Amino acid sequence: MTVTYKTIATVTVPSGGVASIDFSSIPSTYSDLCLVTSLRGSTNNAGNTLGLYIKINNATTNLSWRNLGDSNSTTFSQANTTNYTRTSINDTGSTANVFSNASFYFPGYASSNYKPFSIDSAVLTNGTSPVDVEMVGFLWSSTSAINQITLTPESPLFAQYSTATLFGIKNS
Amino acid sequence: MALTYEPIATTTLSSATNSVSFTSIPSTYTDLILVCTNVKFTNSAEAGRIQFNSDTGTNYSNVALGGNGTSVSTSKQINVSSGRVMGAFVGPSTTQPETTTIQINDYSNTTTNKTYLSRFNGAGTEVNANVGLWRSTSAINQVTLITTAGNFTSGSVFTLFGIQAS
Repeated sequence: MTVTYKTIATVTVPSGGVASIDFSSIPSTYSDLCLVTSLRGSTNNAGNTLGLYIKINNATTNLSWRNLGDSNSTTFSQANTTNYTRTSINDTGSTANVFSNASFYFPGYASSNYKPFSIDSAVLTNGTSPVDVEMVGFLWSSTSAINQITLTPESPLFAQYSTATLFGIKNS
Repeated sequence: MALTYEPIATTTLSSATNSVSFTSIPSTYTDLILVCTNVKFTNSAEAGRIQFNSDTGTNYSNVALGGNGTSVSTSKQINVSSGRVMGAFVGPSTTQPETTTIQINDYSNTTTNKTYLSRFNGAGTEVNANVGLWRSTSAINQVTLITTAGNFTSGSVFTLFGIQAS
């Protein structure tokens, strides 16, 4: 029987941390992708979150995003066309052993259409800051199938025990 | 092996239309998820909306929170004839594809009114979240997406998934 929601790969960051998490050679046999992350950075950003950057197929052009969120009790909405899209993760200044959560959804990732996708993320701490809740709508204006997704922290590493799991979803 | 996340149906538009329906939805799942992708509209004053079981009465309410890239907005609608799920403050794009995910939990019970959660993602327009209410205790067996003016364009894709809790 066809499995319609399947793990493609999972990464758990080892001791010492890693500079990036990379999913490459993503098969084109699914309809959608879902990437679920639990991440923490390896540096103290003085009460602020750290940025999480995402690249698609290592592309540096044809990217745009728009977001909505709340950071430390201040709402915000931003828009940009940059090489990366970003959301936020916990820094080492936040409560120990707390990792941010994010869910990325890539519908039609292997189609010949442009590639819109979404990010929902939350950075929490057992204190007043940093706290960040964010929704992002992203567009990669390329007709190429997505075959690589790369996550990079603002600086310099993802901390040990961070995880990222890529799922493939079939719509038939 | 029982599938816990199962595609029920997919519709890919071969021509523009103002209505997309999923009918005869089985009651055997716990929750539904409707994924809309590559969606564009023929009219930027559009707002993609949802109706259940062909109910066009003023039995819907919703609250939306959105960001247009500069500012944050919120609004509420009560006693309206459809639920808001897509562009709420800026209006969707006629040129860039956008995605929407709609969750309809506990859709087949006959005890409670029905609620839904939607997330709309327009990189060139707005990002928003809606929570909606359909004031009916009927089990949902039909989901219809409609446009308020103009059409969904050809190539828009809509997939309905069923989720089993056990």
